[in-house]
Amino acid sequence: MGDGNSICGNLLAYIDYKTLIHSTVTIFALGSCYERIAESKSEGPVNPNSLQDVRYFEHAVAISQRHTSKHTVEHVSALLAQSFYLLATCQTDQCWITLGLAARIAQSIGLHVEEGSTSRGDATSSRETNRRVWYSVFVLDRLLALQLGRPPLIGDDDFNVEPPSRQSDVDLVDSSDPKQGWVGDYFVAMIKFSEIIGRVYYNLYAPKKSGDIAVTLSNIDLLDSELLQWRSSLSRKLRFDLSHVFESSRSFQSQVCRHPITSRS
Amino acid sequence: MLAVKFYNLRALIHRPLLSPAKLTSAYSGSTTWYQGEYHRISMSKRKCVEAAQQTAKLLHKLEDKKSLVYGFPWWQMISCLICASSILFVASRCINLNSESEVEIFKDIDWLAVDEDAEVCLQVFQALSSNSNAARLARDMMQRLKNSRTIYYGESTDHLSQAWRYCSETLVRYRSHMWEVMSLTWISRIHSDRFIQNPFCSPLENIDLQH
Repeated sequence: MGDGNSICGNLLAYIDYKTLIHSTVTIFALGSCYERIAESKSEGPVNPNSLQDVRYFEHAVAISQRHTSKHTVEHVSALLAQSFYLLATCQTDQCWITLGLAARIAQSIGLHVEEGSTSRGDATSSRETNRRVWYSVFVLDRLLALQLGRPPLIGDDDFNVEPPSRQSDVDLVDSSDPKQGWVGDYFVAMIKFSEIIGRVYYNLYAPKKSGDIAVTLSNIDLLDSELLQWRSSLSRKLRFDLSHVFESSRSFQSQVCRHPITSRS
Repeated sequence: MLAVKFYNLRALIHRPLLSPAKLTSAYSGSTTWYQGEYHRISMSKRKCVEAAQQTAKLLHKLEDKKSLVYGFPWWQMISCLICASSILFVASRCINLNSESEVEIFKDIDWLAVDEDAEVCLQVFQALSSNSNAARLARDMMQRLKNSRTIYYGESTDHLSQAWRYCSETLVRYRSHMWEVMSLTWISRIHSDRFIQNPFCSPLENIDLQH
């Protein structure tokens, strides 16, 4: 991380890779941020100018502002990475705005719909990437809505995209540990979970929620059943309520690190 | 992390009935229906408390701060733990002691353990507070909520009023414009006659600290 600035400078020379650079530098910022939080010992206000992750992120934002004329899947991915950094640094409101931009761009390039015909080769790979990026926006939108108590940007009926596919995937399989299986299982589970988040919001917390206790009680029962059903449908390696005697708890904790955007090679 | 999200959402699903005063006051149906459903309402309260406890219990075996930071996304944990700890700190006040069935449903709840689980949340806020303003504020708000609990024993309403005012001011200070889903506004409905009115419908969690 120490030579980050020179790396940034060199990378910037490759203007064709501007979006990649944007994403990469943002990921540097995220890494630095994790390191800072985990290693810190002293309490008290921190000078923002002394933070490496802040400098990385400022670079990323500068790149983003200079080179955002094209709306592409890569651009959406870069904005997603930016959103993660903003979340990690508790800039939640700014994250809400940045993710909103990512969602709008995703919709403007049609990531929320896909053609019905089966494609092969590069087209399949591209479609798979599009699916993952779209659902990354969807999942983060729902999580942020839950976290902030604001309406989700993407309604359940506002898109028609197949979930990420296991078959066309190589980069979501952790070949070093076959027992881990398909990492995408976690992502698919999160997509389903995010759908429930939306229903919880609209039925129990939205401005126009019912004030009738009978309706509320009924909604609570339905949503609770749906949530329990979701847990029951998880694959065994994701079932947090079952004992995993011979497995390290680390594999469950590390689920969070398996986000498709950050785990793509 | 799925576990944290699951228990957090389950607590939120059942939380509207933890303090059902507003809902029940608006209810115009038959008394018979209400009495018949009271068991379900009490069960919902219990599920809410249990889900909050489960959230906190996930953090019981943390080795150190590193395992927290690398094992969980702390930026989500803060909101989950505010939700859990706020429920745990006020849960005992939400029990209707005049209802035999509700007292029966809660009779095997270990309130000392509930307090300990809430304390775990406070300790996590403390651990993260060295580099997270959000955690620092969460710690302060929950500490004040904890201190305010004397109201339940009829000592004073001032503590809770002050705690609530502090939280409100925190919100204003950080220009938090959020809705109710993750808020602490629900707390203001518990024994509402003893509470000051919430001046706005904004929640208190996940405050954006960059403003």
